[in-house]
Amino acid sequence: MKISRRQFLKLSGIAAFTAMAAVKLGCSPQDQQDVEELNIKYEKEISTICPYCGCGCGAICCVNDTGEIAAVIGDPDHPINEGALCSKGSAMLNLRNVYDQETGELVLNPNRATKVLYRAPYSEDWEEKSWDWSLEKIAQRVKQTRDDSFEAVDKNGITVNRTTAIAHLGSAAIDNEENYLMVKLQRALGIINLDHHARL
Amino acid sequence: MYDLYKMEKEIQNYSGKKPELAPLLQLYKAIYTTQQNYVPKLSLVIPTNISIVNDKLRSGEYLLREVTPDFTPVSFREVTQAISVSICRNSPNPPPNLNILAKDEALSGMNGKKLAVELAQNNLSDTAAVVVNSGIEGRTGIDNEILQLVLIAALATFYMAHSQAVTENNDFKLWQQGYCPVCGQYPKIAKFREEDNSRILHCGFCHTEWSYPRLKCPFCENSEQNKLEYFYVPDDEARRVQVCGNCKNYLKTIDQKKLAKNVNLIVEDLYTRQLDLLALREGFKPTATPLNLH
Repeated sequence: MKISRRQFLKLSGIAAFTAMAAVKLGCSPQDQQDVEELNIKYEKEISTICPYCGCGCGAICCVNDTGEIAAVIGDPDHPINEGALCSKGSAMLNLRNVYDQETGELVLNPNRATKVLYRAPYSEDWEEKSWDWSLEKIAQRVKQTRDDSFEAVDKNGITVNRTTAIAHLGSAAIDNEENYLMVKLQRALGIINLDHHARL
Repeated sequence: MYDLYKMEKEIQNYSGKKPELAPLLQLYKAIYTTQQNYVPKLSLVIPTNISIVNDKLRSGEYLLREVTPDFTPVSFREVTQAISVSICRNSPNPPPNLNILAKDEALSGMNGKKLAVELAQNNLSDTAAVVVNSGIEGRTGIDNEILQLVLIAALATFYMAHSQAVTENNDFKLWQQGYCPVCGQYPKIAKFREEDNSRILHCGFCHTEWSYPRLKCPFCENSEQNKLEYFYVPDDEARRVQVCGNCKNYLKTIDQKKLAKNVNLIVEDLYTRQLDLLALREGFKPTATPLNLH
């Protein structure tokens, strides 16, 4: 492919003007490499949030043209971590990919759950279920348990509107706003056994 | 500013890897050295006080907007003469009449200042036309493209002086634009800083460096991640070309962490010429139309 010096004229900067005049000054590369056949690889950078703790550090996934994640780095423009990642965050790539111990190749992490698994009462086996089925089932059981155990007043006649049959354990990987919404939901259901899951 | 000794080492290193680029790298280093020799002698037309500079940066206006550099006490003609001499000494085929350029009437007396102001008040992409209108080409017989190089290199020296004076006290953290905070030109090349992966843009005209979000196009401010890609040659992953599917502009970027060294972006810009050609092959434009200096 022949690129004319005129095309370099469009480049801004002194280096561009130098490159433009280089031929006439006798210092332009004579054996300009033909780039027509040169192989290149395209990738994209996609921002994400580290799932490990409640800090919510920003990360960038480098994704190649087949959709595979090539690398994960700290997001320099994220206000919380400004490009840094802890040792767990730095290993975020291994949530999806791990190195095969025999071949050394990067392969999909075989321990990563990618579908909903359900074990029925008294069963020893896991079954794959859809998200719709699972959410429906969770909603039904929460409603059923709450309705069966709901107390409007306690034994002293004091209004309590509560259920003690359900408990909720928070998550270390969610932020303040998500915690607020979760507590709001639990209180609306009448759940009083709430606890945090801080990773301190 | 880049350390000239380290720059020479870098050029020697790269000349060994790509001998065909050695004359070009040496020529550019000679021009840069001449510019640096003049930088301390030039007077500034803007205050470099940190609070005044920060106020202007906060407003989103680049520092030399609607400001023309002071072409005294060192005249534009003197810098032009020095650049011409360095080009003559460091070019394999120096143009025969380049040493008489400074004697041309367009550069003598007040005419020199007038020409400099005209160059500064025009867009860099119009330099060829300014050179033609000045009549230098006809009188001296020097090629238009060589004249453009000499005159723009001389003009850039005055902007470099401002850039280096301001950079002493300011890291441009308040500047959030894709164009240069000093002269208003779009970046020519960028790097990922080793310590925090942040993207540092480099102005190819006054060599100012400033940080800019990594997932945002500096030319059209597009931040849609599906339209921002980059490509690289598989055997050199440290040097990539970031492309924007929205405006079709590209920006060469060097990953310092992968090279494990502090790169000299001026040298890298010439060393990565092949990436410019690849970007053009892929249908991308070198840079957005430059903004007016003035």
